[in-house]
Amino acid sequence: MAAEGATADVLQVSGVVKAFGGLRALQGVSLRLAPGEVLGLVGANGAGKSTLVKILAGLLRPDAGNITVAGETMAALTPSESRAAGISVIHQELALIDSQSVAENIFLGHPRPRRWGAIDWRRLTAEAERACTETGIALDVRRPVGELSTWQRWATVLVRELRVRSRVLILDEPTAAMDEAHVERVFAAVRGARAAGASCIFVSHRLGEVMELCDRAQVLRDGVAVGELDAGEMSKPRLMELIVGDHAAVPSRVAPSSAPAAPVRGASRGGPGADEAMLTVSDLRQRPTSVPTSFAVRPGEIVGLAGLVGSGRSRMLRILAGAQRPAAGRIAFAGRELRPGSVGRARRAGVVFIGEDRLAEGLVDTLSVATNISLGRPGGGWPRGTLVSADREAAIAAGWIETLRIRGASPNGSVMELSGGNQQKLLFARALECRPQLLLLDEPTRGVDVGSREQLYSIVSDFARAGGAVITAMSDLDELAGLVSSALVLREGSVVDSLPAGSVSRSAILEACYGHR
Amino acid sequence: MAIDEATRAPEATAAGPGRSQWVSDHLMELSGLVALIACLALFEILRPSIFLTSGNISVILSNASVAAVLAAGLSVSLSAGQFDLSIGETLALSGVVVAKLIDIGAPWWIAILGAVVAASLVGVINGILTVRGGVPSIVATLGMQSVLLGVLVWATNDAYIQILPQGLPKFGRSSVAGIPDIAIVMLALCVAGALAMRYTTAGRNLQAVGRNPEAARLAGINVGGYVLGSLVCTAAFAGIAGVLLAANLSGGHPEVGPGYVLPAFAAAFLGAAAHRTGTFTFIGGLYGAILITAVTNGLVVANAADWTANVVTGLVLIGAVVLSRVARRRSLAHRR
Repeated sequence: MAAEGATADVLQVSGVVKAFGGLRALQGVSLRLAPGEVLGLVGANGAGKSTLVKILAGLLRPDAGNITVAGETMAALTPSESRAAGISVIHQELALIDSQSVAENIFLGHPRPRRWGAIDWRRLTAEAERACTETGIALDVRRPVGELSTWQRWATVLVRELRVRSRVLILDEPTAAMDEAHVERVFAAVRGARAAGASCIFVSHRLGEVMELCDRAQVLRDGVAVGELDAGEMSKPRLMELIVGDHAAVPSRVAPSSAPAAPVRGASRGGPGADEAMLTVSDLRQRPTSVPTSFAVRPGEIVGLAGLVGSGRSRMLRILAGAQRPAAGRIAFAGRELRPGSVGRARRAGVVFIGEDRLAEGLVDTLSVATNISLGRPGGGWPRGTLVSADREAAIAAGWIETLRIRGASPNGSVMELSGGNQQKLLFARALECRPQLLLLDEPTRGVDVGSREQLYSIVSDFARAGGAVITAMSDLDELAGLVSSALVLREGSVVDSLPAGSVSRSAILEACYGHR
Repeated sequence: MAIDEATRAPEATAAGPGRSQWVSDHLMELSGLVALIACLALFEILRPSIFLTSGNISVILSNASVAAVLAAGLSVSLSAGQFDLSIGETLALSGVVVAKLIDIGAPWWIAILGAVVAASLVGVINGILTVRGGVPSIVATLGMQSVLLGVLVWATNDAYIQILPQGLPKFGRSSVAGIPDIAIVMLALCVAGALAMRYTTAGRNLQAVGRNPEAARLAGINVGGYVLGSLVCTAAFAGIAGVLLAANLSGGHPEVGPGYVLPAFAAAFLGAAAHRTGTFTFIGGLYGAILITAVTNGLVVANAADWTANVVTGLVLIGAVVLSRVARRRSLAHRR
């Protein structure tokens, strides 16, 4: 019977393992896809969905395991082999050339019809039009893709993939950036593709959509396929149970009241004016279409920003930091209005941001440790702020190297010799040198070893204990639950839930992320 | 670098390998010096007692001064990651303005001020086009140099504006202890500029803006302001170079510009190539300008054909860029 199933399935993935450094993203994942089936692939951030999709697309090589398409095992696992086997992936970042027409984009990467050696534009347009009609999608193939809506752009890629008769169509979060009306069109298009003989894997965070569209759902958690549900068995609670796993709500609830968080709240309650908000955000809209959102942060608080990939956590931090402009809304800080859109203004007011990419957004590799720490340091006006005293800069750096225990750093040394954790501490030193009141941290522990992580936590809690406020985005929910005193859950750029002190746990956050509350 | 040397010095004296470490760290700088000496020696052998005479050295220094001031200014905008191709015409503009102002009877200091302000205005326009208009500086300045050339030819009827040989030209031709006056001005500017780059916050921020604009922006540095300021600085230096050239030539001509662009870029990149991390510096530009002027002068003295100077300057520019990339990659790889 097993052999029979093997020949019937259009795609079989068995025992796929993939590790990045020490982190095992996939720990022997197996799944199957029957002809004409729509399979939902769900799981929290970091569960391994993206890694699996990339392996199927041939973009990553697995460390172990097999992939069989229509009975043939793929040998090389390269992008071209994946395509040749009939696997099409529509990524979230659509591969489109904005300046070219829909018709040209439909032929992107495929041989264009030619006549006497030159491109036959008339036939190309006609064939593109026919491909659209066959798929039942109405598109003006002559228009440049740059002028199209999100849905039309996605449909262009879909037509391109269906034109070459793909066997397995993998849709990575197709509805993430679309509104209700267009979601229905995506569903219709997927059902059309299925009717035309393709099998689909639908990757999504939206459980309602998975239940509506899919014949079966496969749940991944921490790189393991933890269960599958048929259409009849699917329900939000059962899916949530598999996504969250046995991190039961009860033990995690203990986390916020443990060592790092408790003294902070105690101190803030005792401090003067602690009940007054330090930061008040009112009716903020990240994009013109976002739901307006409001929240407040008090001194001594460490607020976690949680949300699935694409929920707008980084964007929210960058807006508060002045690095990006919101579509609308007001920000008040320390009793005064803070006009968004200028990093300098936010820093002078006392709001300092540390970005998630240390190399691209933080360090200047040709400058020394001391200069990197002093970069952007508020000067004392002219002439004191104008002239650099190398001695003073070195003394400042030496002080921070001592206080934050930045190992391996000397004031005149290179920042590139430091480990990830110590580079991050250096950026904390730069931020703290501005004497901020509010620290905005985007994934502060990404790529940081365990020892340095603990030190970063204590820097953050010390800062909050001293009366500062912190807003931090972290993808690792257990880590987030252990550090923060309360959490805001974002979806599509807006705060959809706020978890007060004492109720922040991995399961509570995930339930809020998936809208199951 | 002074600090690096200071911290490394104890190692060097304490242990034998320290010295070879110093040599390998400063290999690029040393090789540049060796190249300069080798060139001087070669031309001296080819044309004994003509190349290395005090008269010819004085000519080399005078010519190198204009290129060095241009290269010094270029190093500011290149540090900020910007290219200014209009320096040649800015130089010509400044020369014409200073000559014209003296011609109509303005005092020498008003004339110089007017020329440098006119040049700086070119930088302001370049900067606004780049920062506000979003035009890449290489394109904005390419257009600007053509516009300036046309306007200059129109305004002067393509004629040389002479300055009577008192005052400025006298200064431009005389020397103190064998060193031409204009070389002294150039040296003072380079030293002042080098000190400013090293000891002011602005100098540091400029490097951060050029090397990692996003990090600089998130550190609260006004990236656009620095880009604009760097282009104004480059233009102001080109203006000073124009005054020096007018003093040396006793007048201004609208079409002197193009001949100076390539040597100035070659000098700036040569200086960067000789730097350990491939950074653009004032002193590097000065060294590059002297080297390239000595080589082209040597070719003339050695009776080489006229076209050789073009070929050599072009090759030096390309070679210097390749070397400076290698230098930067080596230094960063070694530190990583």
